[in-house]
Order: sequence, then C-alpha cells, then structure tokens
Amino acid sequence: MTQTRRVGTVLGTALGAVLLAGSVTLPAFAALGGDAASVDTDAAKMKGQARATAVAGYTVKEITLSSGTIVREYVSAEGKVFAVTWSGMSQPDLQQTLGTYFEQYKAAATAPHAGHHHLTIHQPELVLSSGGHMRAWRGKAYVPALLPPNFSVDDIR
Amino acid sequence: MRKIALFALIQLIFALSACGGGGGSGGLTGSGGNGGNGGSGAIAGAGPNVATITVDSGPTGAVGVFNTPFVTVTICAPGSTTNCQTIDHIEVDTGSYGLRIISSEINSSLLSALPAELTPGFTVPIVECTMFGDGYSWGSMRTADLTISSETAANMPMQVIGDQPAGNVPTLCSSTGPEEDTVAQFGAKGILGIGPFAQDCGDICANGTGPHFYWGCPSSGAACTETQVPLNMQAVNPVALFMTDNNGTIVEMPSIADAGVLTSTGALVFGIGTQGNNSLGSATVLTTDTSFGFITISYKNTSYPDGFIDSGSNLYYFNDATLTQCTISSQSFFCPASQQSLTAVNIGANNTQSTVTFKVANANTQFNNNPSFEAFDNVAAPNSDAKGFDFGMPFFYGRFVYTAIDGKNTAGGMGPYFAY
Repeated sequence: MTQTRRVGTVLGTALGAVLLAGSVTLPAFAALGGDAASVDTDAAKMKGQARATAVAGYTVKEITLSSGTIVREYVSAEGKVFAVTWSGMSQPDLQQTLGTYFEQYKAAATAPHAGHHHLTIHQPELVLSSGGHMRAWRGKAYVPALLPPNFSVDDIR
Repeated sequence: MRKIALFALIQLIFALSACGGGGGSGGLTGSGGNGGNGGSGAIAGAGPNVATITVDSGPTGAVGVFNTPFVTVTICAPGSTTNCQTIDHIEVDTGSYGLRIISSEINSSLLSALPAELTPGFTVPIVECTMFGDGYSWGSMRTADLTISSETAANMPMQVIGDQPAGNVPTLCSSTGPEEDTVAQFGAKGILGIGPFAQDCGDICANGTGPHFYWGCPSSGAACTETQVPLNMQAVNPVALFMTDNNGTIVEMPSIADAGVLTSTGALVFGIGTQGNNSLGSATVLTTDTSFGFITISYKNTSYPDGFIDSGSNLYYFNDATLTQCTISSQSFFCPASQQSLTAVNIGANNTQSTVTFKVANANTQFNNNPSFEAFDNVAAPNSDAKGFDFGMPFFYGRFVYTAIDGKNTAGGMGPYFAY
C-alpha cells in the first residue's frame, strides 16, 4: 500500500518515511548513490516541487523541475539513493541526478553505438537506460549494489 | 581499459564493412516483408520528390553505425545558387525535427555566409542545445536554402552543430550528457528531423523559457542566457517549408533477410497524396497525440501509451521480461535462444487499430554471424520507459511508413499521424 502526500520536507529515511506537510522549503535532492540524510546542501541545485511516496522498504521522492521534467529518486531504508528515473521534454541535470556516476555515464555514452534516441549501459556498478524521441525523453538508472533486499528493478518506473 | 576494449569490440562487430561480402541489399519491393504488414508495391524510383535512402556504415570517422538511414542534402547561402554544398550521410529521423549539420562538414565560405539567427530585440546570436537520448549537440541557429531531390526550402532555420567557442556551453546543457558535436561523436554528418511536427520545441519555447533548448550567446563571449524563440525561427522540419509536397513523408524500405544485409537502399518520398508516386493507398492511419507524437501500442496484454515509430531508433525498444537479455560491450540487447515472432496492436489517437507482427532474433548471434552487416530487421533492446514501446528502424524494412505533419491536411486526414 502506498501513500502519497505533498510535502515540504522529507524527514527520516526509515521504512515508512515520515512526511510532514506544511513547511515550505526546497526539496532535498540527492544524487544516485548519495546519502539522502545529508542532501540539504544540494537542495538549491534543482529547484522544483517535491512529493514523496513511502513504500515498504524504500521511499520514492518525485521532483518536478522548472523545465517540467520529473525526476524520481528511490531511497532505501538505509538512506541511500539506489535508483533514479527522469521523464520530460528536456533531459534533467544528470550531473546532479547521477552524482559520482555521471562521469561513468558519459564515458559509456561516448563509446560507439548507433543512433541518438537510446542508450543502454549495463555495467557491474551502474545500469542505466535513456531514450525516447525529441519532445519526450525518459531515463532510469540504478546501482545494483545498493538495491534493497527483494527489490525488483521492474518497480523502477 | 574498459573503454578501449569497448571500442575495439564494437569496431570488430560493426565497423568491418570494408571486409564484407556475402551481404547485398534486400529485395526491390516493399510488399509483404516485415511481418506481412504494410508495403505498397514498388519502392519509388527517381523523381523530383524522391531522395535515395542508404543504410550503410556511415561517413568516414563514424564507428558503430548500423540500421541508420542516410540521405544527401544540398545547402546554399540564402539567395545564392553558387555558394552551395552537397553533403551526404545525413541521418533520416522521424523522431526529431529540423536539419542539423556538423560544422566541420560545411566549407568555410559557405559556413561564413549562413546568417546567424538573432534573439528578438536583443540581436544576440541564438545557439541551441539539442538534447538526445545519449547526449547533446551544441551549435548556432542559422538560415540556409535547402534542396533535397528537387524540393526546396528557402531561408530555413537550421542548426550548425559544433561551431561555438570552447567553454560556452551552459551547465543546464552540458550536464545532460556527453557532447556530440563531431562526426565521430555524432555518427553522421548531420540529421534530418522529419517527425510529425513542424518545430523541435513549439509553443513552449516561443512563449517562454524553461526547456533549455534555445540560448542567446553574446559574441563578446559573455555567458549564454536562455531565450525564447518564435516558432518561425525554431529548428523546423524542412518538409513543412517545401513549396509543394509539404504535408509529410514516406520512408520506403525493402524487405531484408533474417540474417540482415550488408547495406539497404530505399527511398524518402516527399508529400502524401500530392503526386502520382506518394498516394496513401491502403495504409492504415494512426493519429498521434498533438504534443509528443505518441500512439498507444498494446503488447502481450499491456498497453504502452508512449508508443512511436522512429527511423532514428536503430533497434526495437520495448520491455518483455520473458525475453532473455544479454550485454554486448556493456549495452543491453534481447538475445532469445531462437528468433521470436511477436505481435502488437498499434492504436492511434483516432482509435484505429492495426495488428503488426515483428521478429526479435538473438542480437549477439546476429552481430557475430555477420559483423559487416549494417541492416537488421530483428534486433531489439529493453526500453528505458516502462510505458514506452518504440518501433525503430527494424520496423521500416518491408514497409512504407508515412509521417504526416501536425496541422497539414492529407487524403488520410490531418496530421500528426503515422501510417503504413
């Protein structure tokens, strides 16, 4: 069972994350692999409206960027961002979204491949796919080592 | 080094066409073919509204290219009939909008004669950040006279990729991925976006900023600022500007063998129902939504609302947990033990339904069996979008795929639509 609320601040990262409505702040934003409990310094980087959904074992934070692109972060009970997705007319700031994995993404994306509409990266440390067509781009990425127990990657959507 | 190994392996897989043999292009007709759907008889011969499409290994310097359709275009300085250049290996893309050419492929006298577009009222050159699924291209917006076959578009906005001084890419652009501003990075000398809309951005960029597409970059070298750009100055589907045959296109490709072929030759026909060689015939019209160009694709009892037909996607991209995946050079593909014959129902916004069958073979086997082949109608990979289903270039072999432009009338109704 999921619950969805519009929130100002996400407190705590434990199972069934505590959601406080009412206070107005920028959304906390963590990069893939980052620690969700210490991300307030990143908050200003990608402004937008955020909401969070708590699911058994993890929390999904959804951030709507000023470009209209939506970024979702999947935060484990341990407070780590183990997956991200994005969807919109524009690509998001992937340097912020992917964090330390951005350079790995760029290196892999630079390797020879056909076409410009899709990219898949399947490496031990990073699984990423990005694609679509002009006006509608979608992407998702996860760190296999950070996936919660019994988590299905099909639930990253 | 992983990257070197990647590069070497993909070179081995894809780039040995010079050593080819055993290939050859497919049949001469588009009938039957890919799953037994679509096709309208003989592929158009030479004509004033016909450009030859070639699927090959791409221009010199490009690596890893396959299932990429190319045409040749001619651009001239506006108003000139002499300061012109004919450029081959321009990728045909029904999933984007606008002509974009790598600056290094344009000779200096022509390049300097292509006027820069300027921001309204501010007289600052407009530079575009063109975001793709695998990176971005950065370069100025210019105007040019375009000729393809005998079709012309005068004073057409286009992008010259890679003509900017180093270091002026805004973070909101450079943070979206790797830069693709050279032939080696881009895999083509340019791209011809002829999807079902006229502009690459549309009203959002005309009425405000936000998507980070268009930037004003002062000649002084000061930082670029995002700018709004009127519709008639945005990168434009050139077909929409043609004097005639301007309501859409047909990509006509022959059927190809299951093993793939070395190269494949087809036709890009301009206009739908405007000439004797471009009638809609019995093709099924599937209208798209008017914002994104999506149809709905129903596959194995799941409905995928982000469906589209795209010559700029080199594989089929969809999701099916029952198909074995494999990793080739750190990229994901489907690799079923034997070739699968699959069925999907394409559903237009007009509720018209069309059942299509398509094949998915083991991509690893396909690439290894014929490393020099450039065209395959049965290779696929997972889609990044859980709601997405992309009938990419494999879909086009053995079909005539029509793309009608938003707001343009045809014998099959108003665009935007796909038909086949």
